[in-house]
Amino acid sequence: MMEKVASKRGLQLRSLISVLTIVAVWEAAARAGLASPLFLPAFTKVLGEWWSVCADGSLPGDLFTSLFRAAAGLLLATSIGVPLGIAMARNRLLHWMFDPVIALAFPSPKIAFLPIFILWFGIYSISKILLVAFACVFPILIGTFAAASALNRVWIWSAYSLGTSNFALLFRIVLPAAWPRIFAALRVALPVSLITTFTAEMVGGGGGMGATLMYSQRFFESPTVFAYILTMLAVGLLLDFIMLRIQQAFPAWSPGQ
Amino acid sequence: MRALTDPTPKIEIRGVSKSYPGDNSPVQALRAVDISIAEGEFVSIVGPSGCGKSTLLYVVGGFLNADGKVLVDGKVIHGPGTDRGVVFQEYALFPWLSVRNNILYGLERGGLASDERAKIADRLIGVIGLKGFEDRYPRELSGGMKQRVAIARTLACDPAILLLDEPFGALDAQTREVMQDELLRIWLETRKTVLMITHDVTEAVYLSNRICVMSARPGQIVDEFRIDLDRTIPREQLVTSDAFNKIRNQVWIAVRHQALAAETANAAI
Repeated sequence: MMEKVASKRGLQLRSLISVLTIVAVWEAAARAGLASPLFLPAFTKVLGEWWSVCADGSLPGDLFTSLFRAAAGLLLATSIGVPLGIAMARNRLLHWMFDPVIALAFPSPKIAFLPIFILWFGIYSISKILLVAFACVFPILIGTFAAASALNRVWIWSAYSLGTSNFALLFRIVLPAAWPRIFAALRVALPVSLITTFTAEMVGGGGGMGATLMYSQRFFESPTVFAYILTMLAVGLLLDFIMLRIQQAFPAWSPGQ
Repeated sequence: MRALTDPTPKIEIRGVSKSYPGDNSPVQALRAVDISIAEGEFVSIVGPSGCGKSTLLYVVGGFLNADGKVLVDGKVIHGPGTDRGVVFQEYALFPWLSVRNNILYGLERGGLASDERAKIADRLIGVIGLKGFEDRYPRELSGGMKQRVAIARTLACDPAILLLDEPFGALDAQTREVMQDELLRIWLETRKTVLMITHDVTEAVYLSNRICVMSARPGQIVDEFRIDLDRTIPREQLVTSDAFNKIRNQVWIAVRHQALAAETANAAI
């Protein structure tokens, strides 16, 4: 136990050293004039810019827009993917119908559909949310289907002989039994939702983090570009960390029970 | 002794056959099995491994369809029911529920008030000797403790019939004996009708009124033994008695014949 704690501390320390080294090299290279400030503004300059775009409310506003789109898309994907995945695992006909569609759509580059989505749903939030849902629904659907297909039949039989109806089985057995792997699929889908949102905004405009980033690049405001990129990295890291903590807080949710 | 006066058996298995689709031709697991079990009787089915004894239990449980009929109280069954409580060999507890909630699971549908349900759960937790473990999860329990909880969960619904599928098969020898004694005590108290699948001849003789010996696949009942032993004397005395060993040896030889026949049949293929 002590060793485990010690090695965890060690890992944190190593990660910190790694990041600090990169930042230090970055700062030194910029200050030594190895690259034009247009291409590589100093880290401290980026930090200053980050502070000012935070203070004037532009970055928080963009972040809110992007996170709203990512969250709405993820929610939509979950509310379609989880029920459909369970239904496909329990019903052969649905499996036959949807399996080829999923096989075709899952490996496709979702961003390629953005022009069509913009054409159909406009350049603002609706097209982004739907594209995020489209990108996230497949990992969630496939994870849920795999989880609900692999249920221990003895649980289902026990539930039936303890008086569970077919309908109640869904909520009392299938969902809780599949939940650890569904949650793992959600953890995979979360970064996908962020990536899709940022990318769609960069390509399609319509406000948000990605749009401002591209806009700033066009006007050679490199510190702003870097400030936005760093914020995207931090948000992804933070959200995945929160998901991990949630998983750890409920040991029964860890896969492999 | 109600069996002599009551004409309707508690469980009647009539001409049950079961085939599974195989690679080339269907594999027959059971062939024309007939067994009648009186109310309050404890019947065990023993036989070589892979003979289809668990399949028979799943058919009686209503989990698998088969040719033939299974009647409970004279009525044909169509699927699982709370009249037949089942204890499986292992992995049957719901891992996302605590010990208490596993035991409460089947009670939440019965229209009982929550304090009545809690009373039943508390009593059963006492019966299985797991006081202090109510809030533990199955992954935190030993194999023997898990099977105790599985039995308590089944008893909570108070089924008239217990179907036991090698309930102690995954336990070590010492724990198994302790659990057998507990099951015997529970059966002596409640006199439920029991159908147990086991490959352990000593266990079958120690617990049952009657033992049916099943042949290798396709499983059919080839031998039957009535056991009239005094269940109230201590285990050491019973198991070392001549009467116990005589019947145990008879059953053991009958099962061994079937196992050897299965070996020869497999070698011939």
